[in-house]
Amino acid sequence: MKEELLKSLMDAVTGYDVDAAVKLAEEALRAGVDPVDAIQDGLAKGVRIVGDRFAAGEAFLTELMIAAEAMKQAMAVLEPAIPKRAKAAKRALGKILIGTVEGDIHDIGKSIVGTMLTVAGFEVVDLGVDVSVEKFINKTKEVEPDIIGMSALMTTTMVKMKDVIKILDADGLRKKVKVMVGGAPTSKEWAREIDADGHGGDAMEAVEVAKKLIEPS
Amino acid sequence: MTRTKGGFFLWGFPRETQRITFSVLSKDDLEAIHWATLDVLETTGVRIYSEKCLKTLEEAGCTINHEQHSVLIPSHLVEEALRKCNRTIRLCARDPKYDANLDDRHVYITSDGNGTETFDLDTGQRRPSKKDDIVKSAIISDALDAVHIYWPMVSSQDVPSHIRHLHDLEASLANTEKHVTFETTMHPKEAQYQIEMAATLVGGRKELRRRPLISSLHCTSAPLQMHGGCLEAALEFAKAGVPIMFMGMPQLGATGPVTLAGSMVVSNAEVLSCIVVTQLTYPGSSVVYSGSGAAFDMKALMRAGGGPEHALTCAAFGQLSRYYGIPSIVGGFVSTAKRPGAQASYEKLTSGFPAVFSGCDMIAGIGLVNDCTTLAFEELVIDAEIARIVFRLAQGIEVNDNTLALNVIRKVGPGGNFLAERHTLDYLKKEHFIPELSDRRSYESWLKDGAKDIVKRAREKAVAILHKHQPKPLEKEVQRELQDIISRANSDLAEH
Repeated sequence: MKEELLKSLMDAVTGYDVDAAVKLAEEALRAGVDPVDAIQDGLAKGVRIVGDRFAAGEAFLTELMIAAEAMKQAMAVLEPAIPKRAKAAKRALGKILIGTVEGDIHDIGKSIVGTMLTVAGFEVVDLGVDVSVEKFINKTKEVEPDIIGMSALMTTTMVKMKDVIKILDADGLRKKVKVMVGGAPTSKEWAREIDADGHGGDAMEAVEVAKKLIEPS
Repeated sequence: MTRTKGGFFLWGFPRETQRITFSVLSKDDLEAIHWATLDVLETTGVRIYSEKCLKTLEEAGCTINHEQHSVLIPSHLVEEALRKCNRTIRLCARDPKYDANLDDRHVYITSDGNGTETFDLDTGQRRPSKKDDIVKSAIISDALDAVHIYWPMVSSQDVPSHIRHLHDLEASLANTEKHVTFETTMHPKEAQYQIEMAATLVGGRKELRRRPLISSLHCTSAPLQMHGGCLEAALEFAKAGVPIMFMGMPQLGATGPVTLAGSMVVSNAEVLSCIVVTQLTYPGSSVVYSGSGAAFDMKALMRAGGGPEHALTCAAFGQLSRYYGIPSIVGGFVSTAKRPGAQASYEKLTSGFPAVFSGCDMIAGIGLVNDCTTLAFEELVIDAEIARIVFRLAQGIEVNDNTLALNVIRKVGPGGNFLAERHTLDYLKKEHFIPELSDRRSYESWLKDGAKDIVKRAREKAVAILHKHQPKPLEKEVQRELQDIISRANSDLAEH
């Protein structure tokens, strides 16, 4: 019964069926399946399969996004049932805070990177778009991420990345958190110039860079 | 690759999903060209170097000058011949799912044929073509969804010339399950062996008439001439129920008038005279119409198959054939570039899309460069991609409740995105061209992957297909019989 439910959860994700994933999550709770197992051996397993398909060029981004959405909605059902202790134990690959910088409302690139990071096993906190320097700093203090990821699509807004890094430095946070940047006008050179730790040329590279940044040095 | 009905990947490009069409000629233009052609046939005439065919024409009421091999054909015979042509031509394939119905509702892409040089897949060097090139290009064509009909792309120059075309056919039939069309049969006796080979695959001549696995294209000799052996060979095929195709190919300014319309008249007169002979000899036989009018480049002294004149005349010939009510095969996706690259790509695109947009039944040209003389495996793969892009262009934009997408627009609202929506998944493959070769990755990804240009990527794809794709082999017994036929032909045809 439990094995069957875990497989059904996985199949719902790999079959891009959001509604089924939510229904199965409810059913799993009723059947007494450990919600952590339901996430790790059901939903996350499915998302990894779709992630592999995507990496192999066999799946489309929309399929990956729907799979991630199915996981997200099913997790919303499962998470309240996880005991506090287990929550602390369930540490993800790393925590990453992402957002599009102040004055810039371009969402899509940042959201794709967020999904890719989730699929790769990161815990992603997405601040959305037009995120002020203050909000980046305050949220960093609040959620204590391993990495901050900033996105910009315009040369006029990418300068805000520099401001965030400056204040992180001034507040003594810079040593505790890695910073990566991305978006069409940015480059490796830009990242170096503003003293960021990494740059992703596309969503796939962003994941690789993030993984490298959290490796113990 | 899935082939879903109503979706993008269908067997043959379905014209019912084609929203964008264009006409090169008006109905008045078509009638003017037809009238001018009848005038040429009646007053200038054509030369046909076959006593047998001239006799047939004479008996039907044509005026013959036997010394000149020339014939004047009255217009009523032309109109009558056009009416007699078979209207339901099906080009059958070893695997019936690949049968091509020339029903005016599908466009079929045919690999280009009879090149004499090949860019070697291993060395990249240009060299005379070999039988193995046919084997490889047939396998790749078999795997590519955008190639619907296989034409042996080069000649097997590593076998004796008198049985070369039989080897070409054997290598083709053995390595693709798609229909095989070919050119160059120049003697009725050779045709008989080719018919016998195809009959072996389907279980006899009677069955071949029902399921013609092969078809044969015959070129006229501009201006206004027809080789006797070539025409008599065509009649052999017609007698056996094998569809035949007549193609005129005057070069504008050299073997035809410099004007596009004038060369169309010359080409049309040649082709219609062959159709008259065919329908007088075997009424109701299957004939596919073909014409082309490439410019003769007055500086390079070369035929310019990749030029806009060729593209326009080919699309126009497609229209003319529809006006006659018979299917067409035209050139398209042609280039005079020496090797795959920028010129090849733009010429292939500009010479290919008019034929698709005007709805020609069969379009030949993909895979060869240097004006249809040189096989480049990379080009075959690139051209298949170009053809798919052109199909997508021709489909245009579908507008209905589902595609207007009001529900999902309302759901996502300002600032959201459509990536994780079911509507996106449901319509992605129907609405978007999905590249199978084009590189759309980021600069960084491209760089990391070796900064390959499209030709290199195409070569890798060709090699990968050869590694993994294996068309269903012919039965051992059939293979042996084909060998036997070629051995018999070897001694029989040696004298020609």
